Amino acid sequence: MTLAKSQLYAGERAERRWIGLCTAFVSFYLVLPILMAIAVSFTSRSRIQFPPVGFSWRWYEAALANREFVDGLVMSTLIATGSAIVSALAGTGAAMALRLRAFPARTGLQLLVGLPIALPAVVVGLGLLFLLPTYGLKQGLVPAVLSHAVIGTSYVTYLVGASFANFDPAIERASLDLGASRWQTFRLITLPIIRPGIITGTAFAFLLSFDNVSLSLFVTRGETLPLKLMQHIQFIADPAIAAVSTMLVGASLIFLIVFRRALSERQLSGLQRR
Amino acid sequence: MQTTAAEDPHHLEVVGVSKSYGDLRAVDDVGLAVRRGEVLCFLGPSGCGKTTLLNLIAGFERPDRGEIRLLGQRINDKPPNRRPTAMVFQSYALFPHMSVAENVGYGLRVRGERADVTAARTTECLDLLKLSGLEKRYPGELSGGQRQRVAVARALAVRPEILLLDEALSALDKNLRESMQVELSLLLRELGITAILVTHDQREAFALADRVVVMNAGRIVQDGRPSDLYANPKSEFVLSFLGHVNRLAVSLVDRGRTLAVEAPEGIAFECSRQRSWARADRGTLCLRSTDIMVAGKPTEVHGRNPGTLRLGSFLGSTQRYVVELGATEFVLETTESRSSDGRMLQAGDKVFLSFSPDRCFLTD
Amino acid sequence: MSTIALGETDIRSRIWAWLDRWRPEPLLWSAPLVVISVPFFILPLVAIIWVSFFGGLVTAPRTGNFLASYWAIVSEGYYLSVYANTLGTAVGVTALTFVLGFPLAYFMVRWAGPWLPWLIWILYLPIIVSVVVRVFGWMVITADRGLINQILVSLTLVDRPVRLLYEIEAMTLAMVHRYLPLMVLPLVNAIGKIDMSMDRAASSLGAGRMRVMTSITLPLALPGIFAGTQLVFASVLSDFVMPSLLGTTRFPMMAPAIFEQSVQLLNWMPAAAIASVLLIFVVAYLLLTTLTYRRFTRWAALG
Repeated sequence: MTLAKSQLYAGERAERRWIGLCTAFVSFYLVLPILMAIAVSFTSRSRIQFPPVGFSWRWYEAALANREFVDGLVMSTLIATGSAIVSALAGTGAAMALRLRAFPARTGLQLLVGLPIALPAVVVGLGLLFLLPTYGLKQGLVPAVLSHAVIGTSYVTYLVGASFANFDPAIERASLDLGASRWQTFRLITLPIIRPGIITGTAFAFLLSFDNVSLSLFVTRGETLPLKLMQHIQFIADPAIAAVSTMLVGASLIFLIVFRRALSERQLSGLQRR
Repeated sequence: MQTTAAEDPHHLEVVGVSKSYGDLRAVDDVGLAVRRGEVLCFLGPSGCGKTTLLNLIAGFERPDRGEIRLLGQRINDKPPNRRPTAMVFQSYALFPHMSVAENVGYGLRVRGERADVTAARTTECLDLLKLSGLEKRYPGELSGGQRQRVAVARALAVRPEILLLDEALSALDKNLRESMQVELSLLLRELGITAILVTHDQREAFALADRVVVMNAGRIVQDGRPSDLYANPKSEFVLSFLGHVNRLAVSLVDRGRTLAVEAPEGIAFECSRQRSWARADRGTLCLRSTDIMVAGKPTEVHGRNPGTLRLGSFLGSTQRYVVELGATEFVLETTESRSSDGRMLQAGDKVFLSFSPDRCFLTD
Repeated sequence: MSTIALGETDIRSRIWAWLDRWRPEPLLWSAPLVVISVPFFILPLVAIIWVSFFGGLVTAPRTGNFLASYWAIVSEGYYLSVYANTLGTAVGVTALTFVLGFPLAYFMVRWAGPWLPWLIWILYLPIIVSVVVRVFGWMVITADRGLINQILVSLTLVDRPVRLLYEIEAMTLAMVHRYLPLMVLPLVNAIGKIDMSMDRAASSLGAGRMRVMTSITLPLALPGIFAGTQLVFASVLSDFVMPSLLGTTRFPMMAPAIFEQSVQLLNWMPAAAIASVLLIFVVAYLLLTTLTYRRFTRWAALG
């Protein structure tokens, strides 16, 4: 898709230079705040200041000693794990259903998948707050897992759906034709091919749930990590937040390295191989 | 698994089968019987229902009406995985996440066959298709021709009662396709397997099949050996589907056993009635491009007026000429490149056309 | 005997025909989604609209004027400014993400080559890293003693730090940062689908680079532009974190207002009414853009 340099004519070269400059600027803009947060976490002062003064681990000690943060981390991890699992199941199912061309209520199902991404989560959150007593649920783990899972499901459905895009339906027919049952065909043929989509989607569902604020504001009592951090920032914006931030960035990087093989860049970008 | 031919004269029977999609009658009251070991080909233009018919036999579609019988048993309600058929798909449908050997052994594995049997049969089929050495490769690493072979090997590995090939060679380029036709034709006969092919390519149908079933608009229009079809097409559709046809308006006079044919372009001859589908005194003369010859001087009966050679193209073993005769342009393909006086034919030359009366067809 | 056998197959065919027609398969596959979506997505939306008119659930049912809560939230100047602020910010942020996002997306598809994986990870960074981390990063950049002000002061462009943090500026910078990937990813997808030979065809017919961009690339990227603007616009309208952590109370926005009215002030019905208005804004925008999109890109449905 990308042209070799020698094939470019002058106009294209100029275009490439300009757009390359813009890209460099935007990339810098994208990484800057994250680098800043990391840099400040090692300061020895208690004010937010740039460039950071001194070097110390004191804010890491403070962050790890903070019960609120540790409890929040545990709670958020539980919620994110639960909703990722639910999303993986429901999303893979929805993608399998949407793949079948025409059936009654297909449009309805498409809306049910698409709307949770588009419609404001604060509205859904407030509505849930109204309904929780009716459901016999209390604010906390269960409503958080399930309400986050609705959004996670949409992402899983789309990413699994994307792995169906290059999927030749004839290979399932071939499998049936060679004597495999429907279940065998799903397990041996369909599942391995959509597995990258499921893994990427589930990873997304986990991240989105872990970082969710709009729903958690209403369906929890503020016990998730992002909410605890928000309360802390609003109250006092000290570098302890930076330390937590850096640890979270570290965790994200570990997450990336672990999933690196499963998450292919082409798939993430939506670019199809030609 | 093997039954003797005497026990089942009809290996596969299709009885009064119809299939519609909404208002479209994709397959319309089709009946057919296939003998064991026969290589049959459904030939027709796209949308004629040939692929639907193949899918009905494989079990991917269910007939709205009629019955499909295999070895005398009705199999309408059997899903494709319980039918002893195996299909080679147009796109090959190789499993991209499995190696060549895994692809070929797949059908046996899902049937719960023992690992050593699977391995042995896989090797056997890979050898048969000259794929040895490629076992560990993935489909993405193979050339088009190799993928095609894997697809055939995979279908053969389950020892199907009937092998189905859906436009199986159409994705290959011309040279490869022709050599594959030869190889596949030999292989099918060597194995003695019953096979049903689907193609829109007349040459491919003739090259591979013992028997060709020509389809149009969901119906079978003619069914027979390639040579019979070619010599005795029963309709203009079949005739024009089996090669380029030149058409000329003519007047007809009934002479009892024969018909007198005349055209203002200086064509007059008599031909036997059985080659005519025309019912009135006017009709259309249909001539295959390969049945017309060029001559440098007038021919006695059917080419009195000279035409003008507009274009000559060298096609290798043959020449293609476009000749303008009166208001009609004739396209003809012949091995001759010289006129009767030994000169090379050139655009602008006056030429006379000739053909044998028993190579022409008359229609309304 | 034969008639009985015929009867059996007849019943079986009927069952098959029935299954063929009704195909329970998609319904089974989609059952888990429906089971969680109805109580945790559909019903909450219904509840919001219901409560905004009639009260009930957590609050006492209303009798009398059903539009009272709406009257309250449209008659006060404060709320009108909340809507105006929110819509204005959404328009501004959407435009900025497009201006910054399009060159990035274009570069990724056309020129990136070996840089592509890096760019993709940079793009995903804001999604992977917690929103609070990003907020904190922007605080470091925009604070009175933060990066921007230190640079400005050291270059003696200003003598006193410019106030950016807890103002519209910091909020906008952070929002554009947060939602840029939502714009770029659909754009990359759309531009990636454009056949390079179109570009060449236009060039060989005499179009300059700028002309190729405006007459070929931009129109063909419309599906991505629509998808991207829809996502960004809807997200900004309902953003809670950025306005409450980086913005100012002098520039109130809708999502924080909903939270404030409900959880903090327990004014449930006005909160539900604001939430309904937000819902209406988003749905109206989605419908409007979808209809416009269909009009402008009839070709996209033809391919």
